Amino acid sequence: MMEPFRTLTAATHVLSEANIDTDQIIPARFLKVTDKAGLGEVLFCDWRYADPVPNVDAAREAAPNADFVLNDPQYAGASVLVAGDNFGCGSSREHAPWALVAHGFRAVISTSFADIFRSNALKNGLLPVAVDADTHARLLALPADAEVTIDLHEQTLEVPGGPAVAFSIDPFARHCLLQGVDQLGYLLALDEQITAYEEARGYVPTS
Amino acid sequence: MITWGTNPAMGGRIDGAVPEPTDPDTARALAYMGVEPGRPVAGRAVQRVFIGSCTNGRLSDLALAASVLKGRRVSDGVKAIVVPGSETVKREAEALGLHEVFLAAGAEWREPGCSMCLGMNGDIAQPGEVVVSTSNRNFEGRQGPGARTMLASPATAAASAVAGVVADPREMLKEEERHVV
Repeated sequence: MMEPFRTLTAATHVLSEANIDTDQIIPARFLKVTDKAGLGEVLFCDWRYADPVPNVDAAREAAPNADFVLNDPQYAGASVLVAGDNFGCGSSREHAPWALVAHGFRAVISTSFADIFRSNALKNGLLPVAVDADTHARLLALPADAEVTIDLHEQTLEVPGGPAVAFSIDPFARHCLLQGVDQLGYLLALDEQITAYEEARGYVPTS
Repeated sequence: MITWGTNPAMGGRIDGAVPEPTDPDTARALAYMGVEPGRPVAGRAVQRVFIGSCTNGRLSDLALAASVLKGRRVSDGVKAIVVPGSETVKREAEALGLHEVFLAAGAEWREPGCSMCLGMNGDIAQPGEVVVSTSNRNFEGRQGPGARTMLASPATAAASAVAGVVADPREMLKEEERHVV
């Protein structure tokens, strides 16, 4: 179960580079875990620390790279990432949204997302919001303490200094995020109906 | 075809040149890869060659690499590894004696796996090393922090291993095989 996503009002982190690939979001050496523990410490690992970091434990001791925007204290706690075009391109690793969520992000806003990353994000409680170039430019120009509001139910994004904009999302993914369930959770909630259907057709489970 | 930059779209002919950058991403890529615009893609010193990955780990890919490596030696400054795409491919390659061609040439013959495509298991390059790789992603740091990946076909990778520099494999292939590069 994940926390239901209804509305989110939050400050933003801006990573304006286009084509940020998943090797940057979470380098391959961290893909050996599936329990997601510590992945938030190694999000953007190779950009974020002053020296190379080989594992999660080392990340906890490592000196931050002062130039990297995620380390800027005035953005601490921001849970919306504003990223450049084609965010999440490259390898399909599900660890990419896991690391973003573990770090505290609940939504990413960009002009476009790589397909597989978008799908992985939606399945892992990270909302990808695609906006047009004008809205994106407004987001890039926001001061550190400005907040945006994402209303998943209404599918709108409010950015200070302009009208709310609509965003699209797959209806089933939207439903799951609003309920705080993943696809498996959605199916398990229908367990009684599934069992009744099977019994009505004479299906006998083998286990 | 071979890539000169840091994403699969940044590539061109093996007999072409590195282009003048027209945007910040490309300029950054050239700086990371340590190449200047106008420089021919071929002829650059290579430290590692990786023949394998899901992209180019089929029996036919290994056979193509073997036809370049047969009777030739991997250059002294190059560490070349050949990784079959699956256990089945490994068995079939060994039945055909391809592994003996690779070993005789001075390349390593490995167990199937992701290996240098992903750099997750310790098969990585050192910072600054140029890798001619038959995988499909050449992002910054993918094959190790600071590794400089050039994506190419098994034939080009094998030819580069022999030459010790990025090399056009067509001279090393029989006439009927040259179309595959």
